[in-house]
Amino acid sequence: MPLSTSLSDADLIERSWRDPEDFALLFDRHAGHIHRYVARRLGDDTADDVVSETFLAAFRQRRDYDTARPEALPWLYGFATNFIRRHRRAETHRYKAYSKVGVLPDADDAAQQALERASAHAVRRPLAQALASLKARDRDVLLLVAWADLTYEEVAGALSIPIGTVRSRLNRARAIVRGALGSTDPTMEQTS
Amino acid sequence: MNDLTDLTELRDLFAGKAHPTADRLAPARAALLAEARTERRPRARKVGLRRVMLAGGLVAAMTAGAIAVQTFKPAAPASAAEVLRLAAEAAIATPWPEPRDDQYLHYEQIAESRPEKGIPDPGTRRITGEFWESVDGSRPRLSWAKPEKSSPHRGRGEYKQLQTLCPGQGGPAYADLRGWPTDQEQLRHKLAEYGKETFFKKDIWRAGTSILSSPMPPKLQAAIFKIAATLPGIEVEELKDATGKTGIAVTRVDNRSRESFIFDKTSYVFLGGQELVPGRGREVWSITRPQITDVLPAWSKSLKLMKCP
Repeated sequence: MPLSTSLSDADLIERSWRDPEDFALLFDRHAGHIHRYVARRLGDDTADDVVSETFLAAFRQRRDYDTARPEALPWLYGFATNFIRRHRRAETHRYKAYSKVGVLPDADDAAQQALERASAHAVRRPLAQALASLKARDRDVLLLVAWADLTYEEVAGALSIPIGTVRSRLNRARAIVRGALGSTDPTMEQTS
Repeated sequence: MNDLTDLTELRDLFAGKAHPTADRLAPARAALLAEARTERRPRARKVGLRRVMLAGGLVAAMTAGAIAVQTFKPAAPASAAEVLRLAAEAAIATPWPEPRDDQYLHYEQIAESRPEKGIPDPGTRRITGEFWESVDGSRPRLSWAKPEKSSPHRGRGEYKQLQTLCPGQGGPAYADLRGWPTDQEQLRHKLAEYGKETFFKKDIWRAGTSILSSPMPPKLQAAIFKIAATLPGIEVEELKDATGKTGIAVTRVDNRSRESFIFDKTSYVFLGGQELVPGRGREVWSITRPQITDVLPAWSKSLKLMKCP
């Protein structure tokens, strides 16, 4: 059992080659991170499904894991990103809805909606609108950096793309976001 | 606009999204475990066969034979319960300055994983790790894993990690363990409860093993050994710990594995443990050089801090 706490993710995955149930320890380490990231993009209910699909897919491909990488979180974000893409329309719809009314369509209850509306100040709505307008692949890179806190190298590994592509996609996405923030209309704060 | 303003604003967007509860994640975890168990099933016959051999009192000669494992011998020096009683006394008698909440527990853990013959596996793995754990869990945990240079695994080197202790992740902090009961019945209940919340279900032995894998209050360690002495299926054997030192071990045998606590043969001080799953492999681990320190090493400042979601 102590190995469960002292092993790197790579070691744990390698151990799961022999003892498949040990993969659940990787779930315990990282499912919370993945769920919260996906929930920010798609809401809790879809995040439940995406997390389940992510770990099942990762489990089935665990023998392909590059054990030279001690931390598996970027690898898991790669699977999650693939499953998120299946919900691309729902994601953009979500951001657009927020940009219009200052509340997410899947907000839990009236009280939370009121809270969100109150905090959806002049910056956040155009930001959500900008996210909705991004190409999906650019949005993936931007949010893996901003929300999942991955480095450029980790994003490149997660999405299996060259690091130069990470930079160009990120620059493109940030230019659009900056443009949206630059045109922020302070009067929007009063409209909710 | 400042170059980083856009990313800062973006990081704040929907940042109030809460960390999912264990209940929320439970169905996904159950689905994963169900699939994992399906994959494991075909090996059952082989495991069963090996277990019969072990039960017959045979010596299990493992791959490469570096660590000899012997089953219980009638000439063993003491009963399992007696060894655990002596270990409980040794735990309390061993000098251990009580750490302050703002300090760190710094210790070394040596762990070795070894497959059995015929099982597809990358081979023996031996890792020495140094850990700095915040006594009250309020500060990040520092890990420094140092695999053997002779390890045959490709690309594997050392890694260092600075990790925030997140709610629901990792074991209890030392300061939390101070609050655990040492009364037998209450502690038994606490271990079962802890096991239920974690990977170990209601298995008191496994829950205890996971707690014992880092420095802990001596009275609690002693109480765990006393409870272990009352569990069914325990026996005495001689085992080497991960440092190669031969000790006296108490092994709990169940239908899945043989899990052992290893003690010094003369002082009965706790050295570490071993888990052997017949037909699949084993892991042996030891804790060495436990000490108390005020600060993390300076080099840890250059590490990226892993935060909670």
